[in-house]
Amino acid sequence: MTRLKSREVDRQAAEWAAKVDSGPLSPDQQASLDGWLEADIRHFGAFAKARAVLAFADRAKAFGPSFDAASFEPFVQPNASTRWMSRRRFALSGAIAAGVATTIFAVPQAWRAFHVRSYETRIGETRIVPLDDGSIVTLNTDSRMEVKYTEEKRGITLVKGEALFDVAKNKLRPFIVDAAGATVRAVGTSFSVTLLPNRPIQVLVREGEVEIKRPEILGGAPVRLSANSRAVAPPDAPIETIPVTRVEVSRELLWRVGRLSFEGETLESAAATFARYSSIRIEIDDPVLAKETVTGVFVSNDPIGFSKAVALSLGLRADVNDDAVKISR
Amino acid sequence: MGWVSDDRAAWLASHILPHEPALRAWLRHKRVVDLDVDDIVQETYARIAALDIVSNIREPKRYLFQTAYSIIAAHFRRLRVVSISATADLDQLSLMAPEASPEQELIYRDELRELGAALASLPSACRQAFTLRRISGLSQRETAQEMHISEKTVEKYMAKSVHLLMETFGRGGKVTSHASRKQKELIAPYDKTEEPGG
Repeated sequence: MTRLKSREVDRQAAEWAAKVDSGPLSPDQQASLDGWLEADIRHFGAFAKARAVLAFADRAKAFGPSFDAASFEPFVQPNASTRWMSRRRFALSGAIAAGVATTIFAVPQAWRAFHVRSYETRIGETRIVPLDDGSIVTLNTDSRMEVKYTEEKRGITLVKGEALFDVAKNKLRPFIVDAAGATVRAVGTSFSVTLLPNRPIQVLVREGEVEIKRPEILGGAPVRLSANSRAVAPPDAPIETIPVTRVEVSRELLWRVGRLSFEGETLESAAATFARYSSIRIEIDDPVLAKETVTGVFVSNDPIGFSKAVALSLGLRADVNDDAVKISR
Repeated sequence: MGWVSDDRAAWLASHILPHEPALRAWLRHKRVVDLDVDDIVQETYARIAALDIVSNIREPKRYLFQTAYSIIAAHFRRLRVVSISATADLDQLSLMAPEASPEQELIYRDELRELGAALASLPSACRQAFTLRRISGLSQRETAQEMHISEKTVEKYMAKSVHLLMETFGRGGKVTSHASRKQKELIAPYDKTEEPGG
């Protein structure tokens, strides 16, 4: 059987859905439809969607018999608020005329425009948050962000922690992340922002370009940051930008799949990183030991597994207590 | 494969269709090499439409994403040789589905408005046939009489309308620059994947 292109599958599915909708099928037609549906799982999927679209379109009954599609035609920009209102009123009266009770209008525009929605993760948790505009945020461990979308901009506040933003392109509605007074502005790109206690804010750009501003820093000109580079913004010094390799970027974003990657970091610094992902602390009493270096990829919320692996490779001991694992000679 | 009952179609319309744009955005962002977003979406619909019951699905959006993910994962498991970039992509996709959808109301926000605009963007004969059939509730025969065309033609207009609406809703877009954008999409192959680093 020739494999049809997806669009052709959709087209045929639409034909079948229209046929089914027009009245009972003859036995021949039914057999032919059955054969078509069985030929390829995508046929069945497209047919299901076509039927769903028809069911969805039935909601147009709410417009009532006076429905005039022309009244919908001109709507272009969402910020044409007056026109929007009249259109909404029209739709509402249509709904009442048709005697359809609907909750769709229960969410007023004003409320939506200023509504802030917040998302957070517990220690050791990551979470993917798809946003209304097609952008996707991945929140790392122990993080919190607030989403405030208006018609002019897509506003995010990173309250704490770390997040990767895969931003859907929209030049007219910039995507702006605020982290402790620094703003990172993008139109369509992929970047992460890290805001940890007692550490400078970090921005890592995976794709595209962003602009960073810190209005409260005197003479702080906006800094442009392109793909494969990192910006470090200490509280009292200018923003510093550092190029990084593509591999480093992926390595650093491994937290999205629950992994941490170290390349020659000290044990001490690795222990501090693990502390973000688990309430089980890694204790290293010996200062010399703390300067030993580690390399490898580890499961981020498993400090015990990490400690045991390190102990094994360096010939050390790892003793597990209730809420800590102690590495010693 | 089975059948798509009216109930199931209505359930899909309420719980899956509104999330298809988000699913597509997610899949596109992940750039899964060698897999076509349209194919994954169609197969995802098939899997969900074929379920015995759906009443136990509490978080349809999450379920939708998980189903799509499992289809991709199964595809890679079937391959003997998986390129490193493909596994990296799968890694990226990760097992995590997006969180449940408290944005439900937001997604429904402009439902009727979008529907109205989508209908407005249909070619006029299609729109007239569709309006008579679906909004005025005429039968196919009555619609044919009203429009002075054959029943066969009414069916053709309905099929075309459904196809265009499938495009509009699935790709979720703003219905604004609808006509021109659709034209472009129909010509350009949708979402060609690119080799990372290539």
